[in-house]
Amino acid sequence: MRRPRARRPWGALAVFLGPTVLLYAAFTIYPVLVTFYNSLHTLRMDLGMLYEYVGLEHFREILTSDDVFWKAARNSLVWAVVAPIVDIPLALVLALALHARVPFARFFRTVWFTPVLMSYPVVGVIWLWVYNYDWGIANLVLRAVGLGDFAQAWLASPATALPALILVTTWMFAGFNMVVLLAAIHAIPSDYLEAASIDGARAWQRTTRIMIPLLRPTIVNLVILDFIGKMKQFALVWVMTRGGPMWGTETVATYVVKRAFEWKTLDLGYPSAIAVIWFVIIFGLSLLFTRVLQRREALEF
Amino acid sequence: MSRRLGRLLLLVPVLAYTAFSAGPYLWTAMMSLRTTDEIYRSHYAPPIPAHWAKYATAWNEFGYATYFKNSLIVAVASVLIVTLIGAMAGFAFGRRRYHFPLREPLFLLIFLSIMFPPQIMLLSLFQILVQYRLFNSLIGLTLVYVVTELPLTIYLLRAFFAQIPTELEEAARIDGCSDWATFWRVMFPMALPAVATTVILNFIYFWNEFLYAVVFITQQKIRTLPLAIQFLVSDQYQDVGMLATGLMIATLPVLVLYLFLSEWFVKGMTAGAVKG
Amino acid sequence: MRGFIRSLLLAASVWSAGVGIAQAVELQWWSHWAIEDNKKVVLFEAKRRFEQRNPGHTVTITFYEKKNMFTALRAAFTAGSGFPDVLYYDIDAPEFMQAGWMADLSTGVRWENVEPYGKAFWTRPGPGGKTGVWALPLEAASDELYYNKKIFKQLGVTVPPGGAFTQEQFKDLVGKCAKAGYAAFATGAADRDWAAHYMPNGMLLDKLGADDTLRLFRGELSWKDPRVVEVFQYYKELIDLGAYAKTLSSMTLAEAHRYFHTEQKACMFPVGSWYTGRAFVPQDKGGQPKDFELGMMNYPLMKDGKGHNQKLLGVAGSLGAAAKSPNLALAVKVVDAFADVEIGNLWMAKTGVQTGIKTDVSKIDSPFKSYFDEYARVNKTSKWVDLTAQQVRLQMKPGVWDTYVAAVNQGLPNKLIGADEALAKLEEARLKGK
Repeated sequence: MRRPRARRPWGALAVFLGPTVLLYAAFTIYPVLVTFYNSLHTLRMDLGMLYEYVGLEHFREILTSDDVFWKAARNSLVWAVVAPIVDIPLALVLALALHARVPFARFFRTVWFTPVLMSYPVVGVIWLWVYNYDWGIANLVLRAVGLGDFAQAWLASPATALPALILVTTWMFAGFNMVVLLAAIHAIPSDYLEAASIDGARAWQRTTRIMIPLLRPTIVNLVILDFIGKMKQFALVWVMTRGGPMWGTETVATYVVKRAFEWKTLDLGYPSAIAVIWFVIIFGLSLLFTRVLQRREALEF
Repeated sequence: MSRRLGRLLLLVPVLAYTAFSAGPYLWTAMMSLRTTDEIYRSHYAPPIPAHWAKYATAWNEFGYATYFKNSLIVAVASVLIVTLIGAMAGFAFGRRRYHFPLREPLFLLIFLSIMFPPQIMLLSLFQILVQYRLFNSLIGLTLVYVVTELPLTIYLLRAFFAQIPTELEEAARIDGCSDWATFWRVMFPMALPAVATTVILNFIYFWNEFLYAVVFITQQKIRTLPLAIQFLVSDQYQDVGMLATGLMIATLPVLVLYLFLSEWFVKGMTAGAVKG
Repeated sequence: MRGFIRSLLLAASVWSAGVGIAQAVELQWWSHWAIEDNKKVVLFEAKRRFEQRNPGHTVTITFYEKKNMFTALRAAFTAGSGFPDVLYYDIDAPEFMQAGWMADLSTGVRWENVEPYGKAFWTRPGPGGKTGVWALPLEAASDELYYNKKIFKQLGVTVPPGGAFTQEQFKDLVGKCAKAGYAAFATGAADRDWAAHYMPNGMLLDKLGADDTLRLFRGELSWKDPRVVEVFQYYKELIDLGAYAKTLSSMTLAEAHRYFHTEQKACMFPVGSWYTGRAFVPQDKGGQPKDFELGMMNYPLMKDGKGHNQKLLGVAGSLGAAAKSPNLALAVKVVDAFADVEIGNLWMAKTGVQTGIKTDVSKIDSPFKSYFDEYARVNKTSKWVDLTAQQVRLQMKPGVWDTYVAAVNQGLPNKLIGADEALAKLEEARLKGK
């Protein structure tokens, strides 16, 4: 029997999508538009939110004469690019180790995921202790294995402060990426792998030639999520170094908050302009990565 | 035989990573049971004697009970609301039945908001909350949290709903179920593993959220837990011992929730929620 | 008839009870100093006095970590709701006055009980340029240089009679400290933007004198001025000798105190005189050990310095009222509860820190008497300048301050940059004018 073309269930759609669209419009679209609007004005919080139109003046200033912005942008970009390069391979190795059924796998899986559960202030405080020059774990371990010469004040030098923070976020999120990859590995139909081993492929080949390509969509997703997350990084820096030393860990997010809330001129316009510029950059780069890294099929499902 | 050996050898890097992963937290746990004086005298000694009373002190002296309660209210409410709304939206975006011309662009638009740095939202959300008179209220904070996690939740649940076979839906329809009933009686229960995933992820996020909480809540009575930690940090007498205790209190609920739900979590992730 | 009167009386009593209840106000007070017990004693005493004089009304004090408190206040004041009636206030947030968020306390406070310099400190232009008195000075502090007497004995160093070393002697001292394995200064800059500013500020003041120092900070004098260059180059020599500990940037202010008086790993500690507020508490609360020998000296005398004997003194923790508070009159009364010589005495006796409230020294019975004597001795010839390390921020333009923090609180003492580079950055920021 030929099935009649169903009417679109608009009523149900309205119910299912309504709340989302409403909330989104009120709390996402509207704030974004307000931010764009603010970026063209100076907005004095102390003068009762007084607007004064300045056109593209903020943008000109940010792009041509704001050194701190460029330092922050560089730091954020470095973070966002380096982090996935470190996080994802590490997570993959861990997931593979678990998949290879190392003893006590479930225990390890649980323990490795725990850092994900902690909030940035908690992690920040703990790692401040870890990096303490005199008695922190980092230097303690170095001194214990005879590498005492490498012990340093990790958060005191721009050269080491940013890598130190990147290590912290890796510590925090490797477990999450690992769990996602592990699940994806489990989802690979075992016949693929069995067929390969029947064909004589060794474990290593099975891993690299079959598993990893099949994991590609998942990996790409994780890379993009990681990238976006690090471009927005604020809380860890705020708790551990507040952007120092010498703007070595200043990120765009911390700079925006400082300009908005800590400079004596309580002007919201300038930081809004920074936020706008940064959003455009994140959006552009994410789109670029998506195009470059994803194969067309992955977009459909 | 060599396979066994291989697995044992694997233990070496695995244990090394475990030490790296668990070390800092274990150290904090130990410090939480020692006084600051003891800690400074020997930073890594085991907690003997163990000052369990410190947990009670932290709870009472620093008003942890209040912050804890507020964090709990906000986190639970936010999780409930975002799960409901997100599941409905994920369902509508994921099932072929509900396709309409602008569906994919709309979904993309919503997903793109993940890219907005919180700061772009912070400044104008602040203005908006003030306008809606939701500033300094747990309701305002909850709504902001829901909106922040909605895109990711929808993304994950949509992927899950998309790969449920249509036969189930049709069977329900033949039985006379409306769309609404189909969703609640058949589809949603099937999605529970993926839902468990989003519940854990969201709960972690809401419990730990710090930026919006600092700016949008100024009243002592409704402050949330991350602020309490900031409170103990820096500034005054660096009571490392007390701080460690406070940190433990802040992280234990999420730890418990995770241990409880971790099985579901892995199942949820496995069930196709992460394929591109 | 009787029934009617009875019900009338009942209604009247209910009504008056209702009115009574409606009139009892619970004021909100946000305060710093959560764990500084000795200062809290004074706060609670003022609260007690207020409640005694104004029966029916109560005050609830909420303690905040200072940085978060100011962020929360900014948000609350901007939103127009959620702010307290009474608040701890200090010059770290000068924009509050301009924005009209602080209440003018010119009337309603018994200023005759407050030191003139204290009142003068808070007499500033407010919104629309109108001058007012915006807060009551409770805490006053001078920028001091403490030292560890035991270590000095160990190194064979004696402080000259005037309390200050010459440039050469001071450099010698720093060298001796470093060679003996100590840090010269116990500074911890992890959580304070101005922690490592004490030494450069003190030396600039000595070299340039008050007027030119203020001009420099305000951006009217070039950072390339030869005298400024001399000071910074000298300072760099000290740093290179090992003046600061390696933990400078991972140590908080509170830890620095401990580093100085408990771990005794440093010779000197350049810090505000509110040091005593933290150090003069029982040892298990982080105070200095009973046998710690605290010494006081003055900043080194710079060659051809114009500002010998000049020292920085400023008002720190103060009390203010929120201008838009619905209970403004009562809030001002809470602030006024502090304007008593008895409160001034109590403050000094308990904390050992100066106060902007008048005191009667004869009536102060304090275990810190020997400290007060030492303080008076060291500062016998001090000419006070209205400024402290924290208040330099008020003088500088935001961009310059940002650079002063990055270059002089982080870069220079950590040996990341040299004196020339620091000055170049500062000059560049000064010329930008922001």
